[in-house]
Amino acid sequence: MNQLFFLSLFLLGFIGMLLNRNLIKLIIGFEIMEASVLLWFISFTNQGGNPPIYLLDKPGMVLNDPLPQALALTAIVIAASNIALFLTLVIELSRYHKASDVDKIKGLRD
Amino acid sequence: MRLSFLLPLLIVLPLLTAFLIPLIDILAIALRKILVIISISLELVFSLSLLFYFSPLGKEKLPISYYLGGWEPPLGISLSLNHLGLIFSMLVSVSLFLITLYSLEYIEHHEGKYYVLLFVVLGAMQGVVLTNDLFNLYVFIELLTVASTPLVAFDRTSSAIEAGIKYIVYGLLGGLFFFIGIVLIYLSLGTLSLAEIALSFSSLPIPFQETVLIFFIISLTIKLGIFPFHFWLAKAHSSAPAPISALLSGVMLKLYLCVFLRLFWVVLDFPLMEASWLKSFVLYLALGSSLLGHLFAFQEEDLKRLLAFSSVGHIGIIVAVLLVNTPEALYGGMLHIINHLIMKSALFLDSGYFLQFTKSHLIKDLKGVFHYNRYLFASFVIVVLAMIGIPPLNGFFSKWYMLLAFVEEGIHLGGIVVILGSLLAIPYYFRVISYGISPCEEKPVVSLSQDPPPASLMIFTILALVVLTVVTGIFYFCLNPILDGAVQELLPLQIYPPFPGGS
Amino acid sequence: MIVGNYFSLEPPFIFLTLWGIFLTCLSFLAVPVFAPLKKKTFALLYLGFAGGISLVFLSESWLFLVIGWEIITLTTAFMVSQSHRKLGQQYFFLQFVGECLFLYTVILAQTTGYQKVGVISEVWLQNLFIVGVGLKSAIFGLHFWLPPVHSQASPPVSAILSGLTVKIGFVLLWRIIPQENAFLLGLGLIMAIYGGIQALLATDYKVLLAYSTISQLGYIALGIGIGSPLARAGSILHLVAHSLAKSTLFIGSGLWEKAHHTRNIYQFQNSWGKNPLNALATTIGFLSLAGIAPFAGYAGKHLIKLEAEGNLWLLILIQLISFLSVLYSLRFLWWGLFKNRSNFTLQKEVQKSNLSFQLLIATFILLILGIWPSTFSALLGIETDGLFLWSFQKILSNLIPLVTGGLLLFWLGGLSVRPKKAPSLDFLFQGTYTCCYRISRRCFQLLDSEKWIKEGLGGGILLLSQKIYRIVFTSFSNQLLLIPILLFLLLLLARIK
Repeated sequence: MNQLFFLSLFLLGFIGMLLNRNLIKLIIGFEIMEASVLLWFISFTNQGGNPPIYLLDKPGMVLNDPLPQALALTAIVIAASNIALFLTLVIELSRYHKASDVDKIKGLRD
Repeated sequence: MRLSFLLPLLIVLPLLTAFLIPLIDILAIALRKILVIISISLELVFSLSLLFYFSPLGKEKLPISYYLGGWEPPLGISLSLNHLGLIFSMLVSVSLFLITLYSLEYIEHHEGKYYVLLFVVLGAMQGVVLTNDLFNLYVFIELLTVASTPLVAFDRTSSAIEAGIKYIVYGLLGGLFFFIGIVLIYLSLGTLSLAEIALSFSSLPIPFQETVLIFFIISLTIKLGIFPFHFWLAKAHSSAPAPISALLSGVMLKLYLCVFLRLFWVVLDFPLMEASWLKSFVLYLALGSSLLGHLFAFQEEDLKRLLAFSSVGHIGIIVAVLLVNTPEALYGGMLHIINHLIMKSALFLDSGYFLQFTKSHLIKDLKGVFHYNRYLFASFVIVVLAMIGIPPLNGFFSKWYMLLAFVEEGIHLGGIVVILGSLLAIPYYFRVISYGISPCEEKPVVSLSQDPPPASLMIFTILALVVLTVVTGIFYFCLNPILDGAVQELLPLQIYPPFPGGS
Repeated sequence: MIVGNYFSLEPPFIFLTLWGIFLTCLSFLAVPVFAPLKKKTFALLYLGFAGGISLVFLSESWLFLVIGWEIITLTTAFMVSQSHRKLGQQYFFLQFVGECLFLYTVILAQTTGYQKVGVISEVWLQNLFIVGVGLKSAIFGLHFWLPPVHSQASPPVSAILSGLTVKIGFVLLWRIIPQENAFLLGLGLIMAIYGGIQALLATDYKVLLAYSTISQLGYIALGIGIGSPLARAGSILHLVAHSLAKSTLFIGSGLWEKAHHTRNIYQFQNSWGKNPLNALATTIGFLSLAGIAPFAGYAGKHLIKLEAEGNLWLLILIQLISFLSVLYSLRFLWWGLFKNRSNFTLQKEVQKSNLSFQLLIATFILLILGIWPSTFSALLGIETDGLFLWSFQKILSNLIPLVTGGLLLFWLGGLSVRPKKAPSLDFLFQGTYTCCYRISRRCFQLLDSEKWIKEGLGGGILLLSQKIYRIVFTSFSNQLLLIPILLFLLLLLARIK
């Protein structure tokens, strides 16, 4: 069930990325894809324990695997910087082209 | 083990330089150039000392490892160096050294930002080569994408920004698929250390292994610009400034080839890939890509796009020959990686010098431009001859070994593609040369500035690359010890760098 | 030891190498006359050429062979482009295509198990080698580039192109084909007849020489194709003799062009008067090409004829070929040297060309080669005791074609005496030759692959690549669409399996 949800989210992002001709919508589609992958990763490694921010001092305490969360955080940071860069480029591009339609900007073709 | 402290230094030094440059700019802008030169020379010295100590002639034996923060493998992250890493680390240092020297005279605006980005790229490249952790690899690859995109769009013209957008979209998608592959591996194996993955990957069920392989293949074909995903390559490589084109086409593609080699040969299960249809699929895809790259270059009117398409052709043939997976094939492929790096960097830097004097990058505007500098023209011709594969220049030997590998394994299509590639290369390069030397009455239109800028460093860089072209051609067998070491590491199913002290 | 591993130091190869270097030096002596401004460049190129020649002849490893040959291609292409840049480029491209064919063949041979250059026993591989060498050595069908290149290059360059470069392939074939090879035999026959007829019809002196090269190469191929030890010896002897004769003739052709300001053989006037030494060298060169007894070309042809005596048809064909070469040699000698010598006066200014030394040496060696062929065959490591003894019958057999050829030509020349003012091909070759002429025209037009390659192939590839480019590079979103398509295709395939 969970898997299906993340898969559909992923496909949604993918289709959104491909069918939208607007550059900004394209990157939103990409963000949805990335988010679905991260959600899947985090939820899959959640074993129902406590968040891994406590010390293991109490007996019987279960902590989740901390590594996926660290990885996901890193991935989010990377994605954020990528998106910022992408948006900067789109703003720069708007100096030359008023529209942000992918197919109307001929230079994106070849 | 005494020298293992150099491994983190190789990564940290450029990153540190990148952060120091803005600070130095506050003090005095004149100091920036000195810092840049000192830092890049130090990097080269580190790399050379590694080569000196760890080459088969030296005293110490590879591989070596360094544990970051003193944490032992199961918990900590480690850096490691084997023969393959040594080759690529050397290539990165040497070519970045030359490219930086070239940039000192070529880049005229926003120099501070340019060097920050360049040094981040250098640090990320060394990281990709040296790291021993899958997630670190991902981070460094993403860092490469992030840092090189502004460099692609550095000119801020319409086409440069379009190229940047195209580059980053493909880069993001490639990175995402790489991440999915990592997630799949972590979920099933619970580790991200390359060595441990190599130990236990083959115990997974085969359909799952194939799925992981597919994600990594998609990611790397996007990054390498193999046929259905080659669209970004020509655009990005042609719109960037000349040293960046050389960096992208000469060095960065080779770096992804290094990732390709490490992932599929050492970490993931190559026998599985060889047994399944995936190997032949990728092989023939790469061959087709190579042929198409040369065909596209044949009809191209723009000089830098022509060179970029020729890169598509060469990368395709390298990937194909590596996948043949015999000693000759791996040897020839790696020899061609080195040679193509040298040749393509030289061509891009050379054309960068000449394109300063023309209105546009179109070949028909090149008329008479080679008369500006006879030595650089001669070097262009020599490198083109090497590209085509004329002995005793270096391109010939890699062509010979690649042909040998293809024909020995009975993949005649591969041999024919190698031959056709060099045959198609003659007319398109000769067209450039004949336009360049055709006499013209009036001087070509100088667009940037009326006086040609001082260019002694640029000329020195190009001539150094040409000398390398000739030397690695005549003395190609001097590379044998290291290349053989690398082939030995790749060929049998070996464990990644062994853990001293056990895990 | 590196020399022992990669190079073979047997007598024929050492002799061939020395011979090649000698010829290169001989041709280089002509450079100051024809290209006085580019002496240094040419010196460098000739040095490279000599290095390549020695590498090719001596090497026993395929790699060095290919390297040496490629160096030769590169240096000769640069030499040609010193005077004709475009021609140089075309020559380089064609030679590179040949190189690719050859490289592939070599790789195939190496993977079949022949690690060293030597005897190859598989016939299919031999035939592949004939095709692979074909373009570089102008074997029939791939010979189309030879006449234009050899006739337009400057004389010292033509001399080594025609004298040495095209021979390399035949030396290689001589090394690798130990027994008879019907394919090469047939090709040799066709080449010799075709080249002979074309040379007979040529009016441009250098074109004539170029076609005569093809015909003599055919002779060499024939000898290798017959495959018995004596025939092989004959073909290598003929190769040596022809290389010297042809390079002498080509250098002489440059002098004639300077003297007469034309290359049309009907307009040669007073040749003996203008340059008697060159006239002597040309005469001996042509007699040697024709295989007349006391001159160099005789020995090789004689051995080949001896070997063909068992097979009647072959013998007839070979005699026909020899007769053809006698005929075209006599024709040129008649028109070029002996016809218009009415005012026999020595002219001073042409004589001053510094080539007398070089021409003298060449003539001298041509004579020695002809008179004592056994010395040279001994240098080549061939046993030929008693085969070159003089006998009345032998002299007669050599004189018969000469006399009949002369008579036939005299008879035809008598026919064409009338239009002395403007001798044209059509008129001269009426009657007996008309038929030959038409057939050869037809053949020439059918086999004129030069135009075919220049226009059709280059344009075709360009058009094709443009079309593919337009198909592949559609809009940006379509480009991105390829990623999921390939991904799902691969995943689907993995599932299905």
